[in-house]
Parts: sequence; structure tokens; C-alpha cells
Amino acid sequence: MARGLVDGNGVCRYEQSSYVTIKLIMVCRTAYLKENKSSVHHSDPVEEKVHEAESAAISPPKLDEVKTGCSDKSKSNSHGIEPCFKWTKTHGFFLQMGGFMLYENGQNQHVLGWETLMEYYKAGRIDLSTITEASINDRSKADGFSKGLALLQIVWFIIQSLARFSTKRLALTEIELVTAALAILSLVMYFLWWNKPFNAEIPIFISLCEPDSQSVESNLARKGENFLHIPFMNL
Amino acid sequence: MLLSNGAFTLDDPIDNQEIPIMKVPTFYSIMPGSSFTDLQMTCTSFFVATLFGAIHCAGWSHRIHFSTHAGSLLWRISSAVITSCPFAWSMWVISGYSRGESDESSFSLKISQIMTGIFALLTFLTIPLYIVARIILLVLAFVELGNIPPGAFANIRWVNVLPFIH
Repeated sequence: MARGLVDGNGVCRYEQSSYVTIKLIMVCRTAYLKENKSSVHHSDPVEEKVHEAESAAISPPKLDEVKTGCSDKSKSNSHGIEPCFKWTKTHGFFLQMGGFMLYENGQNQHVLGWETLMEYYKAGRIDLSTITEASINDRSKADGFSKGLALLQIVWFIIQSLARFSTKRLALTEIELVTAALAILSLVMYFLWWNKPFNAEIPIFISLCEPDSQSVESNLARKGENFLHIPFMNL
Repeated sequence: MLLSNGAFTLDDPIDNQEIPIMKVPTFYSIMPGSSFTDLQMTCTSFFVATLFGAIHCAGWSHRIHFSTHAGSLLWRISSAVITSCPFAWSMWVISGYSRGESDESSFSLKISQIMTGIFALLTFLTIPLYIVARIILLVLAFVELGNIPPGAFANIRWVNVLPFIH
């Protein structure tokens, strides 16, 4: 704003730009609301699962069933592993954050590490079918919209710095240069961490199922076909 | 894991604990599955560090105004240091990787052993240098705020850039 006052018509332009900003926010909000609405109406399977989980959260005993996956319903469903289950980058980030916790004998045991999780999963003692990408993202306090807004500001700062640096009349101070360098670092981080749940505070509890000979067999049979596809890890 | 001595361990601090862990350490990351993945990860982060330093090198340009010659010189030296240090570090990691990959008693093993030694020494020498350079750059940026050129107060005329308005 101080800069706007130096120029002759700075104040006028400030008003204009604030008007544009408000307009932009309104357009974004409308688009966002529309997106939200349509996703509810469409009711794709992932979305439905979340709604199911949400409604289950109201009645605790049912929640237990959903989270542990040890109920009769999921057992009958091809031994807990649904064909739609896919290990995503979000799962990987959440695992690395210590997001999966083993729950046994009515209390938290310990954070599930990568190797332990794989061991139990291959032995058929863990059911991951209810842990969809959407259910992990539900714990994240930032979505594409809020991340996008922050990203927009970062990019705008970088553009302004570039313009100041290359225009003869203007000057770029050292502190702006340092900030621009940090802004580019954060651009890289936004790119790499786009799928990382933001500020997730409560872990997903995973209960060990009783070693069931039938499910162990079926899982061993699946072992060969690389059902857990992890794109970013060489196993 | 970071010590690129060729030997590679898959021991994960979460999985191989005697006492059950209730919370992961702050800077925990899952161990890379292979030494090549480790190399990729390290080199990527050092490349970003180089990029970060390279942006500071814009201070070499006459477009960035310094109040004193000493300040300008300090900035130039520090920015050169923080750009070149990650190079030395990544060379250490790369030579350590090639040492781990090359066959016993081969020529390439000997070469990579020497290279690893040189760059390991260079790395340990440059780490304190890097820290000092980063602090100098940060402090200098704030010190130069006391002497801002008039151009820094002027606004960018974005409207002039838009066609058909001006």
C-alpha cells in the first residue's frame, strides 16, 4: 500500500486490485461450492465409503467394525482385500508420518513401521480395505483449494520479484531476493508434498485380526501378483 | 545411511525398536529401499540446495544495490559458497555410491575410493563454511534494509503490461 501511495494513481489502482481480488475470491468460492455439491450428488464409490464411515462414527460399535475390518461382513468379502484397494502416495506419506497405529487388546501398541505393516499384511492379519485415500485425506486440514491459494500467492511473489529485478526504474532489495529464493524452495516442497496430509493429529488405528488360515492362504496366493503397487519405492 | 561408505543398511528406526514407539521422530523418513534410491533422494535435495544458492547469486548483478562495497563482496562470496557447497556434497555421495557398486580390486574401485576420500574431507570442511555463509546472507539482507534505494519504493505498473488498456 505504501508503494501505491508513491505513484500518482496508486490509490485508484489499489482499489481496482482489491475489487479484482474480491471478485476472484467470489468466483473461487462459487466454483468450490459447486464442486462440493456435485460430488455429493454423483456419489462415486469412494465418496460413499466416506459417508458410510461418517455415519458409522455416530454409533461407536459400528465404527469399531469399520475400522478394524474384522467384522463378519468384511471377512466374507474376499478376505478383507477389496479389488479397489490401492496403495497411494497419500498412504505412503501417512505411514511415514506415523499415521498408522497398531491397536491390540483394547490399547494402542505402537506406530506401525513400513516393514511391520508389510509383514502383517502379507500374513493376512491386517485389513486395509477401509483405509482409502479419501479417509486419510479427511484427516488433512488442507485440501487442493487452500494449497492452491497459498501457491498462487507464492507464484505471484516470484513474478513480482522477477519484474522488479528486470525493470530499470525499480529495485529489488536483498531481503526480497532471499525471500524469493525461499519461495522457490517452497514451490518445490508444494510439488513434492502435494499428497501429504496436512496437520493430521489422530492416527488411524489398525487392529490385528486373528490369524485365519483361510485368509493367509488367499493372501499368499495373491503375493505373486504384486497387489500392493507402490510407484515410488523399490522393494 | 548418509555415510556413503558403500555398506547399506535397511534397518528402520521404527521397525527395529525394542521399546514400542508411540510417535515417529520429527525428521523421520522411511529408509530408501536401495542404495540407488538413496542416491536419487540425496542428489535431488542437493540439487534443490544448489538452485537455492544460485538464486542468491543474483546479488552479483549491478541491479541489486548494496550500500557498501564490503557488503557487496560479502554477498558475492557467500552466495558462491552456498551454490558450490552442495556440489561437493553430492560428489561425495555419488563417489560413495560408485564405490559400493564397483567390483572388488577393479580400477574403478580404486578411483572411487580416492574420490570418496577427497570429497568426504571436502564435505566436512565445507559444512561450517556453508553455515557461516547462510548466516551472513540472512544478516546482510536485514542490514541492507537500512539503506533502501528509491526504486524499491516504486510500484510495478502492471496495467502497462496489459494490452489495449494503456
